[in-house]
Amino acid sequence: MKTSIKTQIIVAVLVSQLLLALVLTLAVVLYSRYQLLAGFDIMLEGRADSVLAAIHEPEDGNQNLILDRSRLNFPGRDLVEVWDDAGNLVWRSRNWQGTPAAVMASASARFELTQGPFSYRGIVLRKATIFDDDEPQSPASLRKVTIIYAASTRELNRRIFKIGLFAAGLSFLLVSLAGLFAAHGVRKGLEPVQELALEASRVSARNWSFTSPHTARERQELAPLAEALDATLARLHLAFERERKFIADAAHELKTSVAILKSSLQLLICQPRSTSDYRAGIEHSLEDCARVEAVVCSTLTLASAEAQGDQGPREPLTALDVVRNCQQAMADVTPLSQSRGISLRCISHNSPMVKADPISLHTVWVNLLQNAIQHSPEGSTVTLEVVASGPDTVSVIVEDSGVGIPSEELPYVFDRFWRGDPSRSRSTGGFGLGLSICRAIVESYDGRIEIASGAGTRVLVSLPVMPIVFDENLTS
Amino acid sequence: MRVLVVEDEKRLADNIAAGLREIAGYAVDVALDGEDGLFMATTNEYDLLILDLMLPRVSGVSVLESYRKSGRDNPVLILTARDETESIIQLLNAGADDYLSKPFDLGEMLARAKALVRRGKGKPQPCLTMDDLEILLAERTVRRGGRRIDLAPMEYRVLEYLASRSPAVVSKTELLEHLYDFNWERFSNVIEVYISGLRKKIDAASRPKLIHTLRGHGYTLRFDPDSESQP
Repeated sequence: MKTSIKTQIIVAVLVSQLLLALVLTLAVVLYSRYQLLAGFDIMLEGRADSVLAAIHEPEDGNQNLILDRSRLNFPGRDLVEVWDDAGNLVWRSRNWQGTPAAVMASASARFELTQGPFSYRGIVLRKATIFDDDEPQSPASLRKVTIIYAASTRELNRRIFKIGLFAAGLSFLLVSLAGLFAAHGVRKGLEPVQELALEASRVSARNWSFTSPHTARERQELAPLAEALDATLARLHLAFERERKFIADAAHELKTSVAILKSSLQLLICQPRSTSDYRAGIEHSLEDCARVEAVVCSTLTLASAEAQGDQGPREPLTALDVVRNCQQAMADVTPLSQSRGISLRCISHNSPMVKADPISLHTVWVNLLQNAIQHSPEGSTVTLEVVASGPDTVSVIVEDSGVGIPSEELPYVFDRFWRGDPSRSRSTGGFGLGLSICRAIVESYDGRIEIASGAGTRVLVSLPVMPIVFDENLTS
Repeated sequence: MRVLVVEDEKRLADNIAAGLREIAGYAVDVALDGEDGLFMATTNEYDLLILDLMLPRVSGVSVLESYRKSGRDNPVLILTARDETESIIQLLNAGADDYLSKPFDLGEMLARAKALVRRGKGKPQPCLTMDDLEILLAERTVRRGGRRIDLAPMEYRVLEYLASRSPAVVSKTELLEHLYDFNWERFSNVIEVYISGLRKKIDAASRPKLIHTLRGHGYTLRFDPDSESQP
């Protein structure tokens, strides 16, 4: 079971809101209780004062204070006890068994107790008696009394409970509403994520079409992901298609070569022939065989050069003199150039060193020179020039004065199995891999290959030069 | 019969042409690209087109489509190095009659070519008969009354063409168009030489006469017993 982001967010929001509601309700209850208790205490004091007012001295001069019951006015449920300063009980309400000694001894003015099923809150009031104003009071006649007054907190607790209930109910309602709102918001907010994920899940090796939903592209958080997915998949698709095309082209080329060889042999065997005819036929078949071999070799060379470009060289590279490497390649193509009546010229100003495999670089020059020779008119010259084109690059330029390549075909000349004018390249025996191989090799050494064509074709290969180490012995 | 091979691999085209000439006894023209191929196919009369798909300039499929649009209904055999089902369906829907994937067997290619030519003439039987004359197309042998008749290659070509078009009258021009490839200079009087050669070998020793000349129109190969009664 996969966890859902949506559920997680909604649960987190709801839990936090519930906590908030709980704390708020508790705070409301505590605050209202505090406020209500304060009011309750004031009421208790007022009622105690009214009891005090009912106390008077007896007219008979008796020391004992008496309580005028007719002047008393208080709810019958309250508990009252009045003591004089001498410690005599003046009056006690009937529903009261007497104040516990602990309360009497306590210095605190307030107390709480339980009697029967009820809870009570009371105060202990120590005050001087107040007598009628018509008799001027002498300080000696002031009598101190202690009034203990308690009232049931039942009503008070009920009110606190009601406030709490209201606060809790309201909070719950608000939390529910907020929860619904949050759920809706989260669902709406996560919709682009879901759409993006759904669209991405449809991509496969067979189906590369992917366009990120516009809802995802418009979200600040999702836009980078959507754009990255778009770009990556487009690149992957392109690479995949290129590989597929390469395999199809290679298969086509191989099948064609095999078809030629097979048909040559079958033609030879289909009817009796003279020995010289057989001989000619076998020679023909060998030429066809050479073609199959060339296709296989070129394809493998290209594959290994491209693998090297992707993964780096297999063996550590050694320093290589570019000019000498080029001269060796020129020597190799000299028979071809002579047979076509073309002269070769090598121009070099210095002798830069590059880090490369001599055989693969040799392949590059041979391929470029062969192309140049094959596309040059008889009697013309093919030039190879080595120049330092920058502080850390060397350029090798192969130039011919042939018919050139039409400008609209230039972007494709490095494509694998691409052939310009097929009738021409067929007659020269190419299959459109030469320049692809050159590019793969040059790029595997972090170099660049460019082609320009007008009257004649000019191929420029730039390679990074090895840092020069000054040899003191040589310079001196 | 005359066949056009449109194939950009010269070596393969030459091998196919050699096979068709030597084994099937057809006249063969070769075009090395789509443009030439389409031009030749629409300006000459061919009894079969053998068409490669991957052609420079004009692709095989568009050659095929243009060829069919020009109203020609001669059979077309496609050669392809890609055997994806989709492209085969596309080809057959575009008006191809058959296809072969490279690398193919030369023998199979020739057999298919012959079958397509037969069907194209409305006579799919491998053996054409007329009265007691038998022409075995696969072996290129001719018998009359059970007796084997040896024909020169060009005589056989003439007879095969007349038999395949029978009972229609075939003009000299039509014969020239279908029996010679581009490399031959065409003289109409050579046809008369072959016809007279055929008459000697087929009609001289047997009755009824099968090769008829319609003056000013051409020749026809037809079994017509009544013709004997006329002078």
